[in-house]
Amino acid sequence: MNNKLTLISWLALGMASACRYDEGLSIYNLSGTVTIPRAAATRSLIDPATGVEREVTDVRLLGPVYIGLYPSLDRTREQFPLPEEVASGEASPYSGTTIGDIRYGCFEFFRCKMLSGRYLSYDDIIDFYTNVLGTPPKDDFENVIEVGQYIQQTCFDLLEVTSDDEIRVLTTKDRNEDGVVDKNDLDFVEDENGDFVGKFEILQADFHPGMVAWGFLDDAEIFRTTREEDGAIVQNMDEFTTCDPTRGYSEGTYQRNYRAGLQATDTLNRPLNYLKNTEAWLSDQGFTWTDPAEPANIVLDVSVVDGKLEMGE
Amino acid sequence: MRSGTFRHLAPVALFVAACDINQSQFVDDVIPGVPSVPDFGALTPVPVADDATPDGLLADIQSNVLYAEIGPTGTSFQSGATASFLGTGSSLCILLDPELVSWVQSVSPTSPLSDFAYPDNIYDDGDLEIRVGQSVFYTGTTGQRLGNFQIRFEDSLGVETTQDKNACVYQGQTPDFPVQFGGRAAFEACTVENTIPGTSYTIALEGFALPVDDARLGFGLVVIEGACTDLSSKLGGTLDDNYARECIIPGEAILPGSPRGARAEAAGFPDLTWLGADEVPTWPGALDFEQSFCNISGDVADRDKLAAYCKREVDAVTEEGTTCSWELPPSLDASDATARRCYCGDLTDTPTGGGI
Repeated sequence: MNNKLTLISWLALGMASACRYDEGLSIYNLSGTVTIPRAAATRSLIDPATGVEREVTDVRLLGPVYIGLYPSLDRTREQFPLPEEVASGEASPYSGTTIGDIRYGCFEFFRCKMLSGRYLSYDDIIDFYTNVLGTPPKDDFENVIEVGQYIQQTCFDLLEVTSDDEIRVLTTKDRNEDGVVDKNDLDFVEDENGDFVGKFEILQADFHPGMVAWGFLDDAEIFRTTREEDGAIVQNMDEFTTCDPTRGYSEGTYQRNYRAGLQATDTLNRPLNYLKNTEAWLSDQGFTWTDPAEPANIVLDVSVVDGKLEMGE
Repeated sequence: MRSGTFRHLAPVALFVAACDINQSQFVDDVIPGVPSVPDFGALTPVPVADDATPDGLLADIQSNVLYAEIGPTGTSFQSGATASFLGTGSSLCILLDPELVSWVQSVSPTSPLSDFAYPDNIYDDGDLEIRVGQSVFYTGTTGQRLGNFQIRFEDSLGVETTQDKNACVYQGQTPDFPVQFGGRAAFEACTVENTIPGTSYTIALEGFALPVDDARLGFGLVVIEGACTDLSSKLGGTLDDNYARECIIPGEAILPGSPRGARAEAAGFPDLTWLGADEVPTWPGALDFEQSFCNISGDVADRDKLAAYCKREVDAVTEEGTTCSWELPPSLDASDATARRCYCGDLTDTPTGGGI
């Protein structure tokens, strides 16, 4: 009996010590913030109500932000820093994430334009296009969308879901836990300097001491065209360059036949491919990460337009 | 020594004995005379004239297809084949057709697909996957061991990463998936874009599966100038048709025991190879069967489609009393009615309601 007890004790001790076995994996949940200058969210736009040009700063003008973890930054290839290429044009990031994901807005009008974390309500979406840009959104039958609930119901119908959380376009959570869901719960919140700060997490990331967290903003591009009927100037937002319109949710109900668009697959691996064709803000220094417990702060302080440096600090 | 000691040592003895297991039963033996990882040397891309007609171009391609057979390695290493070509400065299209064709039987009680009413003989099909890259990146040893194009690099922090330098990406049915293959016995085509002039490229054909019945996999391979999309338009869209493209390279079900083709030998290709569709010896009935599969796409009421071909095979079994080899190696002896090579499957294996 004593022998059995001894054996069981040793087995229990062995199993318990096995639970403390260090596998030597350098994997951590990393977190940090991205700071975007106010200029990135500011545009000179024609006021649809008055026809007068005015400066607008709006968080809804911020495109998706891409954050990657790289061995180092390379300043020799372009006028601005890019991640070190490990081989043949590939940066091979250790890990990464985004702040703002490209979503299906349930109408082709929103293809490659709809981001998570930018809107609080469906009326908020209509307000942006109608009252900020002056181009009211249209449904797939060319009818102007005037009521936010129409977007919601269409999403419920096409996606076969029953809640806004499942549509994943709106910010519905009280992220800052102040008791209300408001603009301070969006992905980017204005700080005391007037800049915009967004939080990010990279879960279960490979951590290599000395690696650099670097990122860029694929900013919204506003274009103007002249309407043939009356010669009026029309403003609208272009599709995000980092969105691949051939991917994502496939809509084929009745005469609808399109894909909703989705983030391109190699934005972190080959960022220059996208920076060449968009208005972007990127990080000059990145954040050199030495302690996984320390939150990163990445400042996107360099403006790049179509692959050319615009301004830097 | 007390008997209790033996009791404690018994599990240890079992562990030691377990290490001595012979696992050769899990791999096929080498087939004498059938290479497992042949290297065909340099292939010359088939030129495509601007004014080429679809029929003329197809004939050109078919007369330049390199046919070959591969067998098991006798080890756990994969079989396959390699070939090479020199970059031309423009894109090149690689076409590959492994033996033979495969499909899933349509068993829907409400909306069956008549073309696929009969099952496939899954035992006579194999599968090869194309990978092409600059020869400098190839990790295998030509003629001895199959490799790939996965290269290890070290970044400035000393972290190793692996990059796949395969430059020939098969465009499958799902655009969202970056890596796709044609599937069992399916025709595959891929483009090596903007090849570097004078640079050697290696084609590595990975033997994903050898036929279960005889473990000999026949296939046809050809390199063509220009991108596959251009070739497809010149062929009138045949390359994009899931069924019709199986007939671009016909006759890859190679008859075992045939000597190397004269044209292949003159061109310096090793055993077992044949150059051109006219030269390759094919199992009796294989060409008709392949054509019936290709006919699925076309408006060809006067020609056999797949179901009609399979029905004839089944009729031969039920009415003439012959049998099919299916999972057993087919017989080369035409008079051996018990081991006839059938290309459609065993109809009695059809799943029934409640059995799926």
